[in-house]
Amino acid sequence: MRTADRILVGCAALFLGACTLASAQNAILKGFVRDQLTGERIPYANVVLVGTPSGTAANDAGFFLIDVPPGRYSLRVSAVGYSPKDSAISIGALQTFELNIALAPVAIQTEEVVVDAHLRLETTVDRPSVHFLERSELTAVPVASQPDVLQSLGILPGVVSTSDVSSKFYVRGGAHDQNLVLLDGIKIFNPFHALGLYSVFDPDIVRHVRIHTGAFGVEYGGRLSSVINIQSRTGREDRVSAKANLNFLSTKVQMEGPVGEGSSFFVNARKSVFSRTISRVTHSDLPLHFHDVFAKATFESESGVKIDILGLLTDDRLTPASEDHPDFAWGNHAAGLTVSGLLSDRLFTQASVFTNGFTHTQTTRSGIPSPPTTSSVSESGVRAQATYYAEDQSLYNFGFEFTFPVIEYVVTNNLGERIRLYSIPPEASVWAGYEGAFNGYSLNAGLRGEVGSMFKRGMRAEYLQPRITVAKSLTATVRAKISYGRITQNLAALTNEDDVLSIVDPWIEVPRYLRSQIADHFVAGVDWQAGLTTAVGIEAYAKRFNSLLVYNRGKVDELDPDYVSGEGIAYGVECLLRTNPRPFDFYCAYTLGWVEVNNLGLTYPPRYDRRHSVNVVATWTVSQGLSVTARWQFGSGFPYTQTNGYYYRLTLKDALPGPFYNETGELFSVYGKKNSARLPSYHRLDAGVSYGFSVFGSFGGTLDITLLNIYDNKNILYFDRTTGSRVDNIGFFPSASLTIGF
Amino acid sequence: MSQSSLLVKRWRCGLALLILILSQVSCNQPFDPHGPFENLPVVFCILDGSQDVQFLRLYTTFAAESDPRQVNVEEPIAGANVEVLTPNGAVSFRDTTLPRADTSVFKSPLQMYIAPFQPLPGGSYALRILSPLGEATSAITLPSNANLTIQGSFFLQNPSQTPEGSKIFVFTTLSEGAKGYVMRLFVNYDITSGGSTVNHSTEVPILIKDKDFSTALLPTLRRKTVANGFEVYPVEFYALTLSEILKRHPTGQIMFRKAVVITLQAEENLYNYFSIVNAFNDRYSIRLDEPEFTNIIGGRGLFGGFSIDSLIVDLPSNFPYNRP
Repeated sequence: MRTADRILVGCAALFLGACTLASAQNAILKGFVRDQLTGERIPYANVVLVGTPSGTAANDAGFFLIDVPPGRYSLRVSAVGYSPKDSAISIGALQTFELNIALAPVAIQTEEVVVDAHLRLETTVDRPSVHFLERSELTAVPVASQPDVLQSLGILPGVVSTSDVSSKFYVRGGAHDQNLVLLDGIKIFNPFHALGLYSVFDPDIVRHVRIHTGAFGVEYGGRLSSVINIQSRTGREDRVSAKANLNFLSTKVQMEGPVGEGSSFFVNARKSVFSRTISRVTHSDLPLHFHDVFAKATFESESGVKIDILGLLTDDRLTPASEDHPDFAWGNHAAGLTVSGLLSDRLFTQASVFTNGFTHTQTTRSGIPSPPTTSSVSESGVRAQATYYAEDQSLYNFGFEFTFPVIEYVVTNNLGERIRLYSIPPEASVWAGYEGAFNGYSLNAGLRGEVGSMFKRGMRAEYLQPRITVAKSLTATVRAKISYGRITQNLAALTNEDDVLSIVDPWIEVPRYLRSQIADHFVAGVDWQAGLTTAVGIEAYAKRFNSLLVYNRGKVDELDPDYVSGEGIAYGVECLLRTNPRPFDFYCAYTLGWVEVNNLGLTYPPRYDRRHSVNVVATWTVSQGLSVTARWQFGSGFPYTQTNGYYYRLTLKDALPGPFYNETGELFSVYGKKNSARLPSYHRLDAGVSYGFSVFGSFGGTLDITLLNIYDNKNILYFDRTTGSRVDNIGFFPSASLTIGF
Repeated sequence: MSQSSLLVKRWRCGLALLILILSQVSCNQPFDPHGPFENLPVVFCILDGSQDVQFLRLYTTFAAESDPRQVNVEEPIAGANVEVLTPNGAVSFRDTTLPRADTSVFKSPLQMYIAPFQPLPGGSYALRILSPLGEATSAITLPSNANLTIQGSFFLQNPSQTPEGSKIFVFTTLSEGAKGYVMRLFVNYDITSGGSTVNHSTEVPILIKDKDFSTALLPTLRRKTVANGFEVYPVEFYALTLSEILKRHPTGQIMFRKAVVITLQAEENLYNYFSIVNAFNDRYSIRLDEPEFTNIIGGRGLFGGFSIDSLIVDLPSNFPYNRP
């Protein structure tokens, strides 16, 4: 029997075993947690039977299930941004008690809510390296002109950004293409607007973001370093609501409302206004244009079966006035249909069909006319996953995903030759996992099989990927966790690894003569709930890259491959402190990290290796509707290679045989040891004021004023190697944003 | 005052103090992308087995505070002790000055070192330079002789009397010491105009996409993968080249004298340098970086060499393309 067959049989056995357990059920308490006003489901709500050890967290669809002995209980349900709700329930033997719980949102978080919610989300979840960001937190982080999902990730420990003008990010020493960005489970390959200044995700379309910075679960794969799982919000079910926003960079309209009983729609559209604002103020050319549209419709039956249909369309144009610079155009599209619900009393399932893609065109307007450089990824697929809630409170997760990405890259290379790379690497994976508790330990273990890789790249051990996490409460307030996971990645974004800024990154399949990119994650951490209002977390991580796609530094000619397998290691320690002395909320993150890449014996830190990172975010809720947020960030300098001189090197073109000495040659730099020097450290202070107002009835709005880099620190972005000139990141930058709606 | 108000006041004061401190300590760090200047000798010397005089360029790296393209003065190293140890003993180079062919960047004459010797195929050569910048050394071994044969030399002499699709095949047996080679076909001809005769040489392309010669592909250095190399020249391209010569010189007497096939064998360092500097000489590469290659210990540049073997086919006096 082949290995792939063994895996499939194993999964089937696990499924059958789980169903067998279902026959021995006791009393079941299950249901959904919803927003009392909008009807939207609330993910990860905390469900506790007060005075008993029984409790659980709702899943990302707001569903929960607890097995309980018959009796009378006080049920407490809480979630971020909502008032907790207590209910008295009485459950009889062998009864299935269904409960739909509606939580009321709170304008100002009470001490109790904050502690209960954030401690659960940030520190008491049984998996390390997980972070949650709610919409309110995303919008609170001061960002130039308009809030942004990916820019806000920068506050998290282990997350590094190399510039203010790009929302590309690097997680625990991984390259930026090693981040799996999902919108409702659909991959978004190039989620950036405006040279990377913003992501394509407006925080207003987001319900919450779940970020895995390491050792993620069996349900995720295909990217080595992180998972950014963005769950979009659904439209209000209670009434029609509309909103409009205008800021220095873009304008936006949003509309949502009910369609019928249990159904809703949500539409959000943005368009850039650079040319009418910044360009007029600064009298400089800012030839950037973008727009995006997100739409979602939700239908829910009385039995809890939910159907989500969503679509995302983004488009960007960069058309410099000077013909010396090429034009760029790029965009993403995504569409999907997801059905979720209970297949049986204890089996919760989600199934999706989706299609997504990314295209990019670069057109040169000067010099010798040449066809444009183009790249695209187009993917269609299906994904299904199920969770079985066993009677003993353990969970069995299993699922599969099949996608068929079509990848194309057409470019004119340095020799003027037209190159076309085209591949259809079927991506298929299956997984099964278990979550349970034994003798005070909680265990989360599973196996993921990259079936597609096995078929196209051969049976290799790395395509069977164990993921395991063990957690134990050391005291009533201290919990220790340890985790391991292996991940592979077959796609890579093509960038010159020394480029500071790249406008668009084409994707390619990792050449099949090389191994897949492979990383082993090791994480160990301790969480401490230091009182009612304070939580502290410390995590140590090590990520070993057993195979990385790197330039072949031994390449001489066309008989040598462009790329080879390199190795690398990233390790470090992260500390997180969150405290909420009302009316303040402090979030402090510190990361001490190292990254090293080994390319055929040459070891160097990649340009995103940052030794120290500090992020402090303080929010002061002055009164209802008025809050002030300040963020201070510090990062030690990134590595770079020094220029230690110049010379003209001969190209020997048309000189063999011939008088080689007649040539002047091309200017070339004498480089120091690769990335052995460090740029100056980075630090800046941002602040924002948000004022919510109501004019009459439900009509109102929000005025946001943001001050970036208040003390105008000159943070270097890059230096031009040719001219030696220095270009800095954003200086002091005030901006404002007005949102009105009903 | 309530405890809550006290707390707010305390945090507010703390925040204001923090901003004040940060604004005071945030002195902008000066930054210079340049490391310590490496003042190194830059050496370019390619031993040519077909010539009896060898050349060596020797200058220094330079520093530039701002745009290095604004530096338009070359800094040659004069008076250095340049010596090549040959199989027949040490040969010293002497410095001299030659007119500079390309004055687009540097205007001054070329400072050059020359030595009167002809490298031997298969010979080993060690370069040693002593200059105020220190010692720079390198060593190479030239490839041994290659053996050339032509299949279809009749077509070279009678290009207009060949069936359509005829090809000229050139075969060569490469030496062990060669890492790369290129085979080239030249046509030699005399142009007599105004009473003076000048000898010219034009290379025959291996591919001509347009008959106006705008996309003519010449053979380039490639890696030796097996002991033998070959090149194929469609007779059609040979004839087109002859016609193009006549077109480019519309007046004057043109007499085609000979067709010359050469095999240039490059030793390892020359081959590596040439490929890496010229985008890996890889038409299918998607790499955009420009790595450096040097085999000069104590400096930058290249000490390389090649041997040349040739085969000559004399063209008849009644060659049909002659313009008497």
